[in-house]
Amino acid sequence: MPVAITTRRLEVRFGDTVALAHVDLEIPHGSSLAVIGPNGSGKSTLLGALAGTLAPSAGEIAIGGARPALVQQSTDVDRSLPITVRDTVSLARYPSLGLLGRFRAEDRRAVDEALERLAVDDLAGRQFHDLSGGQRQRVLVAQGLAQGSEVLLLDEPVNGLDVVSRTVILEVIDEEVAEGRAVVVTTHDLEDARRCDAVLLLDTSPIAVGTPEEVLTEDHLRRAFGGRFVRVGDEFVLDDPHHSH
Amino acid sequence: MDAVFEAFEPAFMQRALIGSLIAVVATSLVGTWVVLRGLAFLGDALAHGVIPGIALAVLWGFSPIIGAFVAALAMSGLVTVVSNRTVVREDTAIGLLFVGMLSLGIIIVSRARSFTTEVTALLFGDVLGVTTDDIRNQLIATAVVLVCTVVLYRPFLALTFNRAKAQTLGMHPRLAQAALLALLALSIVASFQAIGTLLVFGLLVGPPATASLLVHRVPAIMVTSTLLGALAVVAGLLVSFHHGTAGGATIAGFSVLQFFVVLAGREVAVALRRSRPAAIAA
Repeated sequence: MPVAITTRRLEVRFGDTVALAHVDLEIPHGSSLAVIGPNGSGKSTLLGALAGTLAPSAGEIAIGGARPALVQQSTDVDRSLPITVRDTVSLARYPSLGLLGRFRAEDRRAVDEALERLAVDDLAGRQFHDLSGGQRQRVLVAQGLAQGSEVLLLDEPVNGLDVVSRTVILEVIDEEVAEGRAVVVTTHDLEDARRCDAVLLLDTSPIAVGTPEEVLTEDHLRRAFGGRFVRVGDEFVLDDPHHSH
Repeated sequence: MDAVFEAFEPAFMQRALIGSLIAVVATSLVGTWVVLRGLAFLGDALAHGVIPGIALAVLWGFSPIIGAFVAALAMSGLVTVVSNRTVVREDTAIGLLFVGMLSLGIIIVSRARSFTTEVTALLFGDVLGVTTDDIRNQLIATAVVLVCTVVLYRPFLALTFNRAKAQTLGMHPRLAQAALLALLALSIVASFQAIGTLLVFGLLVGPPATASLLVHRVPAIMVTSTLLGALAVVAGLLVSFHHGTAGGATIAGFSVLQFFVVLAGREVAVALRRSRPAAIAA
């Protein structure tokens, strides 16, 4: 599979503070990467750099195809904006429409398909902020899909969601990978990380990159999280009071 | 009905009505984004920040509209620079420049002894003194606001949704924010002659905020805000004409009063809806 995302010695600084350093990645099309690490480890910074919202202070990023689709957490959306579910997903078509381009049949089809895949088509006329947290997150994932990008970047997409929303979103991510998209997911959940093809364990700079089995070892987790994880049988679970799982 | 026809028979009242209605269009279009983006404090500060520009224009004999626009652009630019380049929060930067520009305006005014009338008109407007030239200038400024609001609707919507999302969608949030501030300045300039710099904020925030209680789509808020603003203008001018109150202040007062009337009505409606099942059950 050709490479969708490449980073070389990527570094991002906020003033004098190094938020992310020495990140070398090659993410092929049709694969998923989980980015895991403690709070403030640079997960969202990496996503921002890949999305183009944060400028690297050093290193290089190469993204194949059109601009990547960034799926944020529903709490990132301004609550004062009155916007329907359909209009929220339709925002994703703006890159191809420009300032004044009319919505074409293909745009409407992309929006309808995305709404259906995330099982929010029946909510299309509702106000975004009237929905539950899980429904809002599904709408934002639908927005990401409707952009039609080859690269999907998701910031903790199933963090604290109800079972239905979590299942729907994880299934859609699997489908996107199967259809050849490159998917990057930040997470605090080791179980979600294990679902991906590759894992990047981050604490400002990478602690380990590789398959889930190679990366999610007791030694690596201890280096990243200190004592904030517990062993359950043969597996490890993060004991992170800031996240709801 | 006779009271309405009587009030709008004099030519100066007709000009006041037309000037105020044009102001309402500009302030409703921009004010909707001001309310949704949470820029009310900046809008208020900008409305006062234009005073030194206007004062210098009157003193040196050039167009107050140009003076006001340059002052507003300078102020919004300085707010952006201070908040981007320092750890000072944006609201502190706005507060500093708000007081700074207002002080500068008053200092300039205090150096010119023959300024009393102009200053009063500047601060509180002179809606009954709106001239044909004022209306022409307002029309030009409002046309620019209208065209820019249509062309930049998508960048403004994406920016309000989320700044990072706007960037990934290629909607240039920094440019959109700068354009929004320029339009805010222009809408203030288009309105201050009718309603005054102290009171234009009432039209910028009152009708859009009231509209946001009634409708839930951005274009609908703009249209409803314009209608509500027009209602405030007509009511304000009628009261002003028949009871001798200050025109601009009465219009601004009505535009704020509308908000609390609608809010109270909505609360009563909610309370009635909640009490109905209990009454049925009883």
